[in-house]
Amino acid sequence: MSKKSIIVYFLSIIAVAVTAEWTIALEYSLNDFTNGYPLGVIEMRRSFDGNFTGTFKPTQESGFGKKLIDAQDGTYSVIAKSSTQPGQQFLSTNDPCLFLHSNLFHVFSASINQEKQQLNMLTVFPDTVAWQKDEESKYNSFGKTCKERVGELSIDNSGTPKGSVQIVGQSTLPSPDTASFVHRIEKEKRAKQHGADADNRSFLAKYWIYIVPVVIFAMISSAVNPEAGGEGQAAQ
Amino acid sequence: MKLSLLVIQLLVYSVVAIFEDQAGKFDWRKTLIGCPKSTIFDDSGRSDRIVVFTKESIMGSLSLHTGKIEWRRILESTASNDAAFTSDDEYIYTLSDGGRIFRSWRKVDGVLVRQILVSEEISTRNSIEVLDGNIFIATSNKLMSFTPEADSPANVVKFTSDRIFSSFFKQGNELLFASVSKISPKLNFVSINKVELFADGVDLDFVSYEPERCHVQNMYISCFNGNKLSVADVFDKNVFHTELDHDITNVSGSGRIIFARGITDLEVFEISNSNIVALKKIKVTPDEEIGFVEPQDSLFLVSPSYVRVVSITLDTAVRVPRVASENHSPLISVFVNPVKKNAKDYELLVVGADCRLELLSVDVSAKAIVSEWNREESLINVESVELVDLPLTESQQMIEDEFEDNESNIMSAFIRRLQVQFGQFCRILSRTFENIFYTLSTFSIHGNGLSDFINSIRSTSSSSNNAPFERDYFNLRKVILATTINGAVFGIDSNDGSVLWKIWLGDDFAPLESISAKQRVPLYVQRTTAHYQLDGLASVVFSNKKTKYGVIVTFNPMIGQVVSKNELPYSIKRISLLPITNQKHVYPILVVDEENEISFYPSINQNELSSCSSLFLMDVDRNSKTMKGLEADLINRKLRTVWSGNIGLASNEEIVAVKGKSFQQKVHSQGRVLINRDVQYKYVNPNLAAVASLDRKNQQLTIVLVDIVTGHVVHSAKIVKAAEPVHLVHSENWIAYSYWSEKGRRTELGIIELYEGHGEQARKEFFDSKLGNKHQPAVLMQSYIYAQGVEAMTISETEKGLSMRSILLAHPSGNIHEVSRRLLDATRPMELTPAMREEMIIGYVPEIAVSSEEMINYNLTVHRVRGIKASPSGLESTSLVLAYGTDLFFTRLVPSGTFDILKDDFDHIFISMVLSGLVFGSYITKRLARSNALSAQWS
Repeated sequence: MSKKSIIVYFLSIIAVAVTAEWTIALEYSLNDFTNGYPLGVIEMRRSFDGNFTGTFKPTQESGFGKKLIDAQDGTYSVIAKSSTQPGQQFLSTNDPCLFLHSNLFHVFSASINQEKQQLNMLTVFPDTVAWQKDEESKYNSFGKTCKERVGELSIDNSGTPKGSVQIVGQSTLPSPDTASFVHRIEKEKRAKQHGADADNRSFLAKYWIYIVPVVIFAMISSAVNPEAGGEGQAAQ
Repeated sequence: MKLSLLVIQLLVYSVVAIFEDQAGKFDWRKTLIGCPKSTIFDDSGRSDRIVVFTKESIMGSLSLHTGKIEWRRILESTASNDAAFTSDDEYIYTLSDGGRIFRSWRKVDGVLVRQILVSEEISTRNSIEVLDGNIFIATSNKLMSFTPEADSPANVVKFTSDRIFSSFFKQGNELLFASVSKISPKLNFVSINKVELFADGVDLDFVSYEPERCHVQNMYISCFNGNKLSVADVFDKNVFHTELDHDITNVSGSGRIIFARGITDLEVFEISNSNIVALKKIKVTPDEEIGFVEPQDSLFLVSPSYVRVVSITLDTAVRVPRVASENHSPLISVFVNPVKKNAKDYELLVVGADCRLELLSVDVSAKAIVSEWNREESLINVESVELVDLPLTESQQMIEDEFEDNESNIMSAFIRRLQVQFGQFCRILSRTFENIFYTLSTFSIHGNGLSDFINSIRSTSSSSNNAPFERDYFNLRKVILATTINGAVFGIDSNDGSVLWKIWLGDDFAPLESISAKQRVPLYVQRTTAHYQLDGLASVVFSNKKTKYGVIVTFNPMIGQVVSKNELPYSIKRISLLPITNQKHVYPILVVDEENEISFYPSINQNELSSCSSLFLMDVDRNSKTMKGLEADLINRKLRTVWSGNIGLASNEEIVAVKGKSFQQKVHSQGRVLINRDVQYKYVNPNLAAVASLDRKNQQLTIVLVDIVTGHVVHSAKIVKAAEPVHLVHSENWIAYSYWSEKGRRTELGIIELYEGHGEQARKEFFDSKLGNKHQPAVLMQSYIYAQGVEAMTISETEKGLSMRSILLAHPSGNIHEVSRRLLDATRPMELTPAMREEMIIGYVPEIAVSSEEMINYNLTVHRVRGIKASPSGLESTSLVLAYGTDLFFTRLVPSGTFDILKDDFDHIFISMVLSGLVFGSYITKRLARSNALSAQWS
């Protein structure tokens, strides 16, 4: 590795470290924000390829699980405020019960605009990977009370919130791919001209479908008429 | 070689054209002209006709005797529909496309004679006049004259400010142009001599011109304000003022006669000797509409139940009753044509508020009225369409009855079975006798010979038009329900397009307004005819013009009988059909009012609601660009915000389409088999909605897929250099869209398909939005060039969702193109391997070819299509399709071919006849052979 490239490499690392670019502050409530508490912060960092990754840094609140248990039939609301969009907030709600069953593991699904570094939408889900005792995947959010949804809770829920972040970026809708199509047609045309793509299988491999019936026919006719051969020999 | 193979493969899969003898067999088209603005009665040529100009910028000629369209020309339509026209003995002259294109047409057959591009800019106030072959055209900012030969103007007068009123006045060979500018209320004149234009220095002081309070006739402009009537004589440059003892609501007139109408009185004035003279005062009722034409003396006061003929000079009055229709709308205009042969005969073209045209022939001396014909032109403004099954047949009902009753013992069930089968046997017998009788009668009338006999048998078997009003075997015949923005609801027979019934929704009808400022008249089928003991129910929702409160009218969709009319005490903010039924099998309508309170029509109790405790709605605030997820708590009847955010919408973006999925949609297959025999599972989220937004400034189209329950953005993608028109359809696990690409200067079609990530199906039994996904769904996208514009887009629907779906695209040229999902597919590979070829996968070709064989409406052009409605039939292969716009077009569609039914040219009658002939023949020959053998032995 040349000196120059090493310098470039380090510079780029520094650039990434410096642009620990933007944060999303999270607040939660279990009574429609009559009382709101901080949940944590999502830190958004750009990786080398320009994509963002988010890391959830929770607040160290040990009573979080207890609060969820107390409000298990209520609504768990989370408000997200992005540091790049002052004045805007994103609301998401879910069932507290489902989080109790996932050991307080959250999945924050953040839809972002990479270019503008803006949050489009943030949704909070329980992390189904951390489900407890869900062999038959029977947990759902359809029942009216927590018991109907997930059954008895038999867990120690004194933990702090934990979570991972799923980032959905904005992609580009495709345009009709005329270039590749023309390229393919040209390649096929060239291949035909040069004969490079010629069939190089052996004679038998290529024409066995014609040979086999002829052979079978010959075998059958000789089997049916064995004395014909004898007569021929006699005639000689 | 490979390419040619590919082309052949494409041809094999996409040719679905119909044969010549199938044309018109399953399809029909209804051509319409719209609501008349003005008419010309014309008796030149062989037959009499009425040339009609309509509010929809359509010009058409109707036969005076039958009411059928002789010819029709559809002019360019702009937002303000400001086409102008005039006529002379031989030609009609039109100025359309916002005053940009002048055309002249032959009156007899509507042939285009001449066309001039008059101006480049759009104008909102246009008028046109012709004198001695010279053409005079006025737009908002200039007046032009053209000679018959040249295509460039001979003279031009430019106005300093835009005109709010302009009109030509003709008196003998004298022509005058009068106009009012934006800035001054004075009447400004330009006199015309041949093609010379002279601006008159004199301006005439007149009342401020307002189009809805003024009327223009031959030489006069009359305006009213309160009880004051002002009439300007443009040639004498004189203004007359007069005061009435009541307020004026409307002013009209013809020639020298002016009518000032109040609520109860109609005052008749005549202009004579530079003075305005009150001739008469006539008592009128609000439902009477006046019709008058100079130089006749008779004034016609037409009401839905009678016609009054009043002389304006003498004291004679005749009242002629007419057959009153029960469900009538008020009349809006009457056009009078005196019949030349008999001075006492008149023809009246009566136009209702529901755009119903009726031609009345009035014989004043005999006091007789004949209704010659009528046309339901309101169908040009169809807004919502639903297709409803016909009621069960008697035998189907018997079968249902048999299985309904579970409690009876074996013996009674056996007796019931016998009864049912006896009933069926009787029905078959009676039908057979009927058929035989019909066949024999037609045979005895028409013909002799075997071919006639076969034809008559065929016609009996296909004479479904005479069949009773009940469901056919394959449920192919339906009742089409259509609401119009004029306030009429129609029931149309899908067999032939005939109007079965019509409901007028009342004089206070006003359409609802959607968030995208479109006029909507939603229609909901609340109970289908599947429950044979109960009648079907459908509802139409609109608002009251005066109070702005919502109104729900519920009716029986089979006979058009109104069951109930609910005047709500609040205005409607949001409306939706609940996905659960109450005890009477009715899907209630959920109404959200301005205070976010929820109510149901008809009501539903707590027990019935237990299966569905909440419903999720999405709400868009157009100003702040915020999307909100609302949970409708059906039990406590409250709305609660469950999520909010802008889903990435910038302030200059506008939402152009939002498409969710119907809760009745069926997805047959859960996955797609890949070439390596793996299965890729579809991401089928019933709560998913696709939102398309357009940034007009930066020409950027964004499509966001949102889960309505949680607000989770499943996918978001954008494309630059995209412009309107944007159309979007959403079904199963895919979204198809079309847009205008500014980059390629062409229309492009795109497809987005969603599959479960990581190749496994997450939840097989149910889908729960609140649990989220372990893996993001895999998104496949592809786009294609489409060489035609798109006016409307829809997806075919079949009974079980088993057939391959087709996308129907309406072109501005009037075609409806069927594109199979096999072609509009995001998984078409660029490189085809032999294994793929074996599986008949179609390789990627960047263009979706538009071939004339794929037009489902063959040569029946359907203009200005606004929407296409697809509905399943009883056959899995067949989808029923109605396209509506200026015309209505109905057909059957077979997206995957007719795999479950014999071809319609399968001649079972001929085959059975030949078969029985052969059996009979063999029997005869056997006898003959035996006798022959016997005689041979004897000899």
